[in-house]
Order: sequence, then structure tokens, then C-alpha cells
Amino acid sequence: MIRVRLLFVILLLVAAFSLLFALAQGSVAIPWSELWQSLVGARDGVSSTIVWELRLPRAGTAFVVGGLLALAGALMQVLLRNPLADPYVLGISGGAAVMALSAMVLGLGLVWINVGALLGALLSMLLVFGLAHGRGQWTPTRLLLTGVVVAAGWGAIITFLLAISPERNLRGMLFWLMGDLGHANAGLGAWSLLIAGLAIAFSMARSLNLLVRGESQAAVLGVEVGPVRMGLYVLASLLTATAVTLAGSIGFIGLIVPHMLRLLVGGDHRVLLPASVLLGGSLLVLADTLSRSLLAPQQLPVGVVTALVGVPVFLWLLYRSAAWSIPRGTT
Amino acid sequence: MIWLQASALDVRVAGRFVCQDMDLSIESGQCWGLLGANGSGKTTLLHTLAGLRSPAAGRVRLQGEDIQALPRLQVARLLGLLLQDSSDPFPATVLETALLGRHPHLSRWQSEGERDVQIAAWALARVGLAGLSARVVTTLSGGERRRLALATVLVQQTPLLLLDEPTNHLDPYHQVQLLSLLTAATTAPESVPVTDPASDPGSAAADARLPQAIMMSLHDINMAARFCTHLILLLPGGQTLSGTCEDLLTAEILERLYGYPMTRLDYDQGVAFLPR
Repeated sequence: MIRVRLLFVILLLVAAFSLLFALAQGSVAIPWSELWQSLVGARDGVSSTIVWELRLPRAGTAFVVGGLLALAGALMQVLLRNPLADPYVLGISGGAAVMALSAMVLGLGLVWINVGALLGALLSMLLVFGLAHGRGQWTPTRLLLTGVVVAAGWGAIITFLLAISPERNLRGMLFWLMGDLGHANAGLGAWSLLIAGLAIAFSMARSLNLLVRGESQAAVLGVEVGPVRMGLYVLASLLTATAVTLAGSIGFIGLIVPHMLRLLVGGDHRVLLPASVLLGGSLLVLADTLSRSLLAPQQLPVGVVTALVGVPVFLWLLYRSAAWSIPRGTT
Repeated sequence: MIWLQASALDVRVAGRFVCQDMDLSIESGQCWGLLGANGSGKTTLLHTLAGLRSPAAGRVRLQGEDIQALPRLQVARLLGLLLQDSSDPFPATVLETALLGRHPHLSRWQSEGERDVQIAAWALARVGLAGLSARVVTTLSGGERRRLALATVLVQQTPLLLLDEPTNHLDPYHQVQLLSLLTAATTAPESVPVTDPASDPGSAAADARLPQAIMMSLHDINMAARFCTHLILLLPGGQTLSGTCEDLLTAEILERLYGYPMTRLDYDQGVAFLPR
């Protein structure tokens, strides 16, 4: 209990620090005293404009997207009973990418790119669900295989789109594919979805603790497996779709964050889910700040930073933990 | 009290009958042993009786109500099932795992309280895992994991318990100790309790209860003879035999059951059956 409280205190501090760091860093460095002035003082001057109109909305968006991805990742890992699942494993980001890139090829505006991404994500979600349901049992293995194959299909279409599109579009398309917060702006909708999603997931947390131990075990202890799994799929998909629509497919946050927290605080989803949101949000804010400031004034896609940091961290975690083997039969 | 009733039950798996037109009722004080050869459908039958799968025909009633129509949460307060295998893809501690058994007794937003922890501690002490509650499950041995699964199902505090090969992975001492514990509240005539409940270190949870009725699948005929009051035998071809141990435990019937010659051995403390 003390350990859990300590964890949340630390996570809140990390979140606060990451936001302050994001406000202070960038192509124009703002000293802490000036940052403090622009936050609490009068809203005039260049620093104040940069902080309030550029950096704070962007940091907020990064936090929401990170939170959505980490939460979706934690839920997807339960749904597929596989600690190595991430929010994109079932092809949602692929569907979103195909539609968003199509909009770019057609030369449509930002709004249409976002609408396309959302529609693509939802289309992919329905497609995978319909195919995995098919006739017969809806097992995690079947869902995983269907998702992986559909994702591969989207991958082929993405390559095709990249191959036929004119050179001037390629940079934008690659940025979108790597995940980019440059054009993103999370409004009230994304925040409410994150909070509502966390509340719904939290209310199912004990059922999730049972579900990771298998369908029969969960059913025997009183979980209505069918409805819970369906809810989990829809919720994780919607969270992912929102994140991808806002910022493209930013990798590794949804995989690493729940994974790290499982190692730190164990597998209780009542702790894991809120902690994932906090840590996922903070990490993406930090990564985005680095992507803006490392080669400033040039901006990197944030996905590059998350992957460059995520890959070694993930491999190290995997290498270090002997207890972490690939699960046996996932049915 | 009749806890579970099966009427005209047909259970099929892979196009083959496990049982046909079977009637069965499990009452307080009874401990049923479920015997059958490999692949005869013991697990399938237990899962059907627990409502995890629907029968091909017939009905299973839990306290008079169709188990397929009951919410799982309500079933889970009355009926526990120990699965043949447990898998833990994500690490968790022993205490956390045992506390999972409290799920059906907690409301949606409630978390485990002091009493729940007491019941878990009681169950862990009973299966001999009292000192290991902070250990991560993946570091336990096969036998310890089996005892943890038994503790979890005891923590569920159901009057009716179905057990799928409870003695898997257990050494002889733990087999006898745990079967004595589980059957302490059923009227097994020859069961000798190894642990004295009064001197139990986990008896802080004074209102914790043992199951009042049991059905368990076993491969050890002699354990079945020692701890069960009744038997149900799944013969090849979907025929079933049920009755008391005295009636069913003969070398002839067991030979039909396993398709292998068996010898009855009389010794000063009773009888034993051995494969020839």
C-alpha cells in the first residue's frame, strides 16, 4: 500500500517535471525564472506567447496521446494475454495510416487527414473483429493472428502509397508514419475520452486481473468473459484510434510503459492502469520535448525519439528479467 | 441440501459421448470421485457441471436454477472449480493470487479488506504456503503452484467445489494432507485429518469454511477409495456408472473402466487396487 502511494507520488512529480521541462525547452530556451513569470504573471511578451500558445498546448497533446497509448497498450496486453502486445498489433494504426496517407496523396487538408485516420482506424477495428469472430471461437490467438495479418496487409498498401506519391508529399507522409505532434492539438474530446476510458477500464480492473489468467479461470471466478473481452477490445481500439488520429503512429509508448510498470509494481490493474496513463503521458511529453530541441530549430518526428529510447530500454528489461518468458498456450 | 443436479445430461466432445442421459445430484456431506481413462472426458464433464460449457442435451441445476441462465458472479459464490492447469503469463505474488478468490464477494469498486486478507492467509496456511505470501508465483515449484491454486479456490469460500485432478504435481504427504483438508467437512469415512484445525496458525479467520460438497477427478483409485463417499465412472463408449465406493470399487469394474487388468490387494488397513 505504501509502495503504491509512493509510486503515485513519484509519477505525479515526474509528470509535473516533464511539463515544466517541455515549457522551458525548445528552439528558444526560456530560463526558469522567466518561465515562472510567464506562467503566473501578466501574459505579455514573447516568452509568455511561446509558453501559452505553442508549448503548453503541444505538451498537453503529448500527455494525452501518451496516456491514451499506454492505457490502450495495457488493455491490449490483457486482451491478448501477451505481455508483448502493443496498441498497434491488431492493425489499427495501419488502417489509420492508409486512409490518412490516401488523403495526403489526394492533396486534401489537415482536417481530412484526421477524419481519414479516424475512419481508417475504426474500419480496421471492425474488419479485424469481424474476421476474428467469423465462425467459431473468439480466442486471443485467433484475434492476434487476424490482427497481425490485417496489419501486414495495411503495411503493403502503405508501401504502395509511398511508392506512387510525388516526392514533395513524402516528407509529410513519413512524419505522419513515424508519429508527429507538430500539427496535433488535443481538444476537450481527447481529454474526456482519456478520462472516461480510464474510469471504465478501472471499473473492470479486478476482472482484468482474472482475465490474464485465462478465460476459464476468469469465468469460474465470476467474470462474464464474452462481454468483458468485447468491451476491452472496443475500448482499447477507440483509445488507439484517437491517439493515432491526433499524432500518427508513435511507437513503443504503449508497449514499454505497461511493461515497465508491471516489473516495478506487479500486475494489479487497479494500480497499473492509472499509473500507465501518468507515466505514458509524462514520457511522451519528454520525448516530444527532446524531438523539438535536440536538433533545433529542426524538428524530428517524436516516433524516432520514442523508438531510439524504447528499443534499448525494452531489450534491457527483457534481458534482465529471467522470470519473463513468453507465455504458454494463450487460449 | 442438494447443491448441484444434472438431469438427462448428454455431454459430447469431438463427436464422442462423455456421458449419455446421466442423472446426478451432489448433496452436502458428499465427496464424489470422478474416475475415467485418459481422454474419457473428465475435464469436459467438470466444465459442463460448472456451467463453463453447455451440454449437448439435458440440464445442470445449481440450487434448483439452470446454471446456464445464472450470472457467472452468482455461480461463483456457490461453486468453485479448480482447473487442471493454471497459467500466469504476467508475474504476481502468492498473496495477490490467493486474493483473486475473493472476486465474487466484492462489488465493482470495492477492494479487498482486512477480512479478505485474513481468509487468504488462512487458506495459504492450510495448504502450507504461509511463509511464501510475498513470493512471485513464477518462482514457485509445480507442487507449490498447485497448492496455491487450491488455496485460491478455498479463498472463494464456496459450499460446492469441483476439482480437476487436485493431486497433480503433489508429493504423497501433500496429497494426503490436502485431500484430508478438503474433505474435512464431507463424511469421508476413513479420512484422517493431518492438521488439527484448532492449532492452525491461520485460524484468525474463524468464519472461513471448508466446502460442504465436492466432486473431484482423480487418477489414484486408492486416494478415491480413501477420501470419497461416492464415485462416478466414465466407461468407454459414453456409459457411466455412479454409486457408493463400496459398490463400485471391484477389480472387475475397474478393469472395464481402464481396459487394463487390476488386482485387489487386501491388507490389514483396508484394500488397495494395483495395475497388474
